[in-house]
Amino acid sequence: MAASAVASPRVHDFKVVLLGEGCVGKTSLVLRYVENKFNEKHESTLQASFLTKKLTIGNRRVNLSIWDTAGQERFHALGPIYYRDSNGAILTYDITDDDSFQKVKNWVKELKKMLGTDIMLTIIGNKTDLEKQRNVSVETAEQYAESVGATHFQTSAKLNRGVEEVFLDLSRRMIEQADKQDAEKRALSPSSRSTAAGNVVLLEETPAAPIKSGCC
Amino acid sequence: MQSLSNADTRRSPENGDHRKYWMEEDGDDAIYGVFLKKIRYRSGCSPSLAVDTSCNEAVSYLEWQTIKVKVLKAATLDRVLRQLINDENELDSGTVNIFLDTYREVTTTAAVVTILLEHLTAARETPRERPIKQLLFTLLENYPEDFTSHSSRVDVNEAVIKMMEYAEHSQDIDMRYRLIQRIAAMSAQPHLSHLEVLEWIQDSQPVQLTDFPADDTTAAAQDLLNYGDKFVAEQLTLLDAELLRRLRPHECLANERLRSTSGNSARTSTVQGTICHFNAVCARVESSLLGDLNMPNALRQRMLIKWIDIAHFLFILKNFSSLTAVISALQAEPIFRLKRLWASLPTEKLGRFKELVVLCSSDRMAATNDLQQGVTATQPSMQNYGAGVKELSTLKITKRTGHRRSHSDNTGKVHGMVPYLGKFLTDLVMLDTALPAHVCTKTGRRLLNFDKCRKEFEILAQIRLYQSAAASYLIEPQDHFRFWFYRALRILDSEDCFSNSFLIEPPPSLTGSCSEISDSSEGRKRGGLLSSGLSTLKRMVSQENLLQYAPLTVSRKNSVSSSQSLDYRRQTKSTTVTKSPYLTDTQCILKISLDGNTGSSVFYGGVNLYKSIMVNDSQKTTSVIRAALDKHDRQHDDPNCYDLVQILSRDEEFVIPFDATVFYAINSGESELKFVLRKKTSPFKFGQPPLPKSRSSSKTRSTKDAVNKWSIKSITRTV
Repeated sequence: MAASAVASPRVHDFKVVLLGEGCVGKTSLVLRYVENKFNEKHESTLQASFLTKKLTIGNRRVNLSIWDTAGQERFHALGPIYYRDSNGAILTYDITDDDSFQKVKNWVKELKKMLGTDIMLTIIGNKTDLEKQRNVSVETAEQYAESVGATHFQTSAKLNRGVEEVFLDLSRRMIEQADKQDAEKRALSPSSRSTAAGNVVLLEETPAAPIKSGCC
Repeated sequence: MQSLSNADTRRSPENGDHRKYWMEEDGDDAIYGVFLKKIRYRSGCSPSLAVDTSCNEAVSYLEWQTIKVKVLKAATLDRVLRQLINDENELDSGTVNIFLDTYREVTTTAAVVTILLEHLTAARETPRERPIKQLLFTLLENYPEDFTSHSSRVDVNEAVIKMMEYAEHSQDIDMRYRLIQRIAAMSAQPHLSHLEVLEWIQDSQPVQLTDFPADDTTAAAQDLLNYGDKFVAEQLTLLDAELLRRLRPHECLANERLRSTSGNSARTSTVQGTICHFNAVCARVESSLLGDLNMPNALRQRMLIKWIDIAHFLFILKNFSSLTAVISALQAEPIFRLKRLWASLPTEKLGRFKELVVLCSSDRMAATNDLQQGVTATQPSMQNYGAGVKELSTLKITKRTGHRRSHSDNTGKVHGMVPYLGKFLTDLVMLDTALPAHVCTKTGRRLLNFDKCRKEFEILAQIRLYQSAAASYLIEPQDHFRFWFYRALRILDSEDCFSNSFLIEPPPSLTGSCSEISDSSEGRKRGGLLSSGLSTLKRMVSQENLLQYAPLTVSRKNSVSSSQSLDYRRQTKSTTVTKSPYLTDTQCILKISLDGNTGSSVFYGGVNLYKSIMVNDSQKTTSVIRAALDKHDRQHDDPNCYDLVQILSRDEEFVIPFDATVFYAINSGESELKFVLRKKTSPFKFGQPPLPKSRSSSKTRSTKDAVNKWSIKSITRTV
């Protein structure tokens, strides 16, 4: 499922998987993002476990297929079937529920072990509309995210805060990663070994190119 | 093609006729969707009329007509309940089924019964009385668990008491009699939940549990190998089918599951039971492969093949529940990471496994296909399950001729089908999130969103179809298998699975580092699994965080470097190390020597002595120097007097800043992470090494205490 196509106005096909404890609002997030999927006239519910969104970032076109495992959290060992071949993962916790944050840590561990550094991680603290009942501090979450090379966002699917940004940022990083992998493939020289240090978080040197997004 | 036909039928869920959405009709207590439906009288769609008109060709006749069809979209509870009985005073079975399966999301049984009894009072001695009573008893007979109190199964709740009161009050002897009968039946035959089913299956085991040796995992694992693949698949399917048949579909609804998991645990959910069983299958797969550390590799390989073959038969049996369980367990990290084990599989088996993985991950497509085939095994009586099922039953009719015959002919007795429940749960969560439970009219009245109920019911109706399909398996239960499944195997928890997995095959990155360390001019020599000291190791491993396995596994291999196992060495060839073997995501191993004044490497009479130090991502330079000094038996030296210097390729050096976090400061692009400790102030004394060779080696030997035993030590001759 890795990005294919070699032509210059290249279309990236990315698979993104949503993981996290039950009831943290994964489905709300993805439905909020791909809103028009569930309008009144759209009767079909089959195919629901995988939603798609097209967007354009700079001059790059991206097709996201977003896999939601909601409702299956209690099925043990089910993750691998879903996150295999993913380019990105969105790990969601509920800011009012510390257990859900611990669960995110477990997912990060597992993803790192299974997929190494090829997968881009985004950690989301959802339900910021319930700020008063917060149980996971922003600092803790951000520190943790930084330590594992993930980006951290806070969202409220209910109030539609920060949702768009999550997917934009993730898409941008997946494009970077795809470019990096391409470059590595092209330069198959042994010197490419110096990029082996996967733990180093690459900081963006230039401000991001103007971003456009929207449904195609 | 499949998706096309789906889309078509969905546009007109009621039947195959042309139906166009026209408008929305707002009432005070209800919102209807109005559709226009074209009915042709000539084309044979409506046989009775067609026959009438064809008798006399000369008479003009109505060729077609457009009628209005009103579909309830939202209404108050009172209105919905009225809607369940049509103008001919008959129960509208489609709507009734939708309502009875989904009403718990928005209201309680007691509220429903209260309103129905009000209707009943108003409709006394009228034709509407009968259908209302019929509705009450349908509810009571089909959903007896709604009428039992949550704390105790025998107690009936408010709803039943209300019905009894009504019967007494209205002196309705017939109703009173039927109620008493029902209540007696309910308490005599309590509805078993899934967890209870499992207990019941377990309790009916004829074998005495105490007779069985508790910790004989090898024997239990061997038993599995002795069972036939098909036999195991069938027995697993039998359990799955039993659970599915006893599933109460409405418990799959997102809200209900939420309610059953939080709080009220007395009411065990049948969905929870299915999930428990799924997890139990996963655990059996993992434990049979990882439970016994002394299991020879060949046996473990046979076991893996066994599970792949079982999975294959599960697929043939259309048991997608256990198939998903087995495949996901084999893909779970503790098993999937055993690269050598997988590499030892015959290509054919590996290919089969990959096929099954694809099948499980593209579950959507599989589900649609299975649905068709699953439907072929269902009875015609399923027709009245409402819109969703009507659509499926058309499928059944069209597919029956082609599919059913070939299907049954190929596989003999197999007709049943068990889906993976998780898919439906996801769909239901999606629906629940996407659609509001209530909608408001223009006047601001809050109405129950019946459209949502209808959509949810479509999914529940599919589950019902599968339930009836599951009844058609013809498999004899075998007690000894059930015993094996529930009791024989010692089940590992996920922590143990990981630690055992790491003992069976140490992490590849560290395998690599060992090879570097023990690499000598004679070639690579590795140690196998040393049984002595294993328990210590295991204990240590289980205490450690998963990410800290590294030093332990390395040291274990190092400590057995004298007793190499050929087996092990043969198999390591298949592992490939791609990135720097000294690095993991949070730690790295540095080879640190004491400065021998030559700048690049340290020589003591031809011997290069270094210590490997595990550095995590938070250690500062001082603490790394301290650790290195300690290992070099320089406990009394002050770390502040030393610099940590990285030796780079091309004879360059890099002095690590004194207050740096070493993990990030080092140049990790190097193939070997070589360092020296250099005294800051010490004058340059060529030819006078601080630690003569003879002393150092004797000291190393003398300090083999518990800590040192597990640290990496290696003396490599440089050529």
